[in-house]
Amino acid sequence: MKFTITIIVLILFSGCTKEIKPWEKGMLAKDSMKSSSKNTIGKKFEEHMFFSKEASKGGSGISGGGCGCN
Amino acid sequence: MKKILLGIFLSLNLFAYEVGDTLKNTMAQHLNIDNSKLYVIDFYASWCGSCKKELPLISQANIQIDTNKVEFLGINVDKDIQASMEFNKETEINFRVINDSNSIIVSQFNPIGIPTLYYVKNKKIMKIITGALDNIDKQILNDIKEME
Amino acid sequence: MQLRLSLATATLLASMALQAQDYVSLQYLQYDEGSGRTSVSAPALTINKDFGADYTLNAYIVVDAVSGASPAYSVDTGSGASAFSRGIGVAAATVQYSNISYTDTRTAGDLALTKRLDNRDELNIGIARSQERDFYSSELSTEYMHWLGDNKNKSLSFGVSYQANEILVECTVAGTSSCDTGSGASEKMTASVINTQLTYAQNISQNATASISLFGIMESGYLTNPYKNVVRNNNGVTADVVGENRPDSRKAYGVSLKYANALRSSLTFHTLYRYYTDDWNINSHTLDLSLIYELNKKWTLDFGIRGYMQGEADFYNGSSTYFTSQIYASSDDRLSNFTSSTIKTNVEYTMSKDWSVNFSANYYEQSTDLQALYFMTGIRYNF
Repeated sequence: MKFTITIIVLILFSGCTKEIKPWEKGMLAKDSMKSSSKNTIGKKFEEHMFFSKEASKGGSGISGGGCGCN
Repeated sequence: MKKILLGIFLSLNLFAYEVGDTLKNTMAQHLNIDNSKLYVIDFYASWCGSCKKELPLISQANIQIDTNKVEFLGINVDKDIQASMEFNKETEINFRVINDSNSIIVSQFNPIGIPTLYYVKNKKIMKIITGALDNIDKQILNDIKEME
Repeated sequence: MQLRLSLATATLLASMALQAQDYVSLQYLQYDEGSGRTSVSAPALTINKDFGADYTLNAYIVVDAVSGASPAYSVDTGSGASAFSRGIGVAAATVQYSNISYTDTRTAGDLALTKRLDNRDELNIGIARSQERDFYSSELSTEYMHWLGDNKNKSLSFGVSYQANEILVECTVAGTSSCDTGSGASEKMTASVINTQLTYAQNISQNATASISLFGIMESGYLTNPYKNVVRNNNGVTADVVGENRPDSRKAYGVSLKYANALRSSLTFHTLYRYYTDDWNINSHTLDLSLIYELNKKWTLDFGIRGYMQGEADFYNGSSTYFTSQIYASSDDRLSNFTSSTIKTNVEYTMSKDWSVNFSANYYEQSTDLQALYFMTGIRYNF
């Protein structure tokens, strides 16, 4: 488990990624990149449902990041 | 062909225009600017939310200036040329715009964010404003007054 | 109370993500579990408004009407209907595991303000409130996002929230609380939740982003569900049907990984993995995959699947003959060993620059023999 996470993290965040220039962020700025559904209230409903039907929570409030495109 | 070569050359460049730098002649030609006026050059994109808010204000400022002395110039950095054209139309920009879909111009200026505004006089960069401002129209008119 | 819900802390922070557009959106949810179990109708409204280039305000309000039934142990009083009854030394044959009906209304809202600083770092401040007949929750949260580097391709965020909950426990329920069981009064219990989250996010190419979050959640106070019973000392002749009892603290932590990739300008792929563990010995894995397909300028389709598996709490047992004198005991199947899967679809139709409508159909299934269908429909106006 830990091994898998480590590998994924290393791949995703390895320093070999190319620096993205401010004018190259057209795709990253799309709404569809910011949220996994166009229906943002729907996502809240769902979070609520999972929270009430399952015993785990947390980790979903990743408001960090964004594309730096404004 | 010439444009592509220029593009390759410029994209290899790690150079960024800073305040006090003078534009290369090739760039001045490309932008069609000369020494007769103060140029206010705005880099923007259709996907940039704050650009959308700022552009109408810049157009408003453009009405209040002496066009013999000052010219506004927009550089749309959208790679998607169709989105670029639609956006220019939608935002009713009232100044000259260059669609820089190959990033030839923007990669030479190398701004650290979008939008970025450059003031250019006698091909010299006088001031740079990065990021959107609420009162950009007043800011521009003030800056012009100071630079004239 | 069954669909209880204090606003999930983390959800609030998620709601603060910047949308560069002013809009108001109204959604209606209809949620139905099979075989007479829970139904929820919930209209919700959200407003997002920018004030200049530096401030964004987001407000959200939802009203849930919940009705139906949820399975629990109780004593069959012979009255026919399954009622929520407890008893000490009752005849073992009268102990039943059946659906207990209930209704409730929840009103919840939150307000979040995002402030962008000169260096474009972002500060979020949020308040949230949730209210049910027997449950009140208030929350304060804040999060700071700092850009690493001029090109704004990497960021670090730290968020923390504090939630204070009040739970009214009916005194008529024997064995639950210390107050007068004959008076019909309620006793007010309290609980608190502190949630912290650290996120590192990075643009990894012109069309892909990834992030990793570490989170820790500390709950303390009354964490027992006052509507769930356990059976103790069942010797086949007599048994005690009493309220469940959970520890008064819970420490949880976990990691979540997110990855989004615009495969083409019209097709975006999202994936999320979360690992969760706590000191009740519950561990879980969540995997969520989704696709957003922009068919054309008018139609957008979302499709998603989610898989979840959890291990049981160390004080959980579903049997009516297991518990004797253990301090902590619960037969709430939400604390059991189970898996769940969800299939999600949403279609959005953009009528004009300002107006769009959507319809969403979804299916949720748990290995605990729970199935639910839920639909959402809504309208959004950009202004």
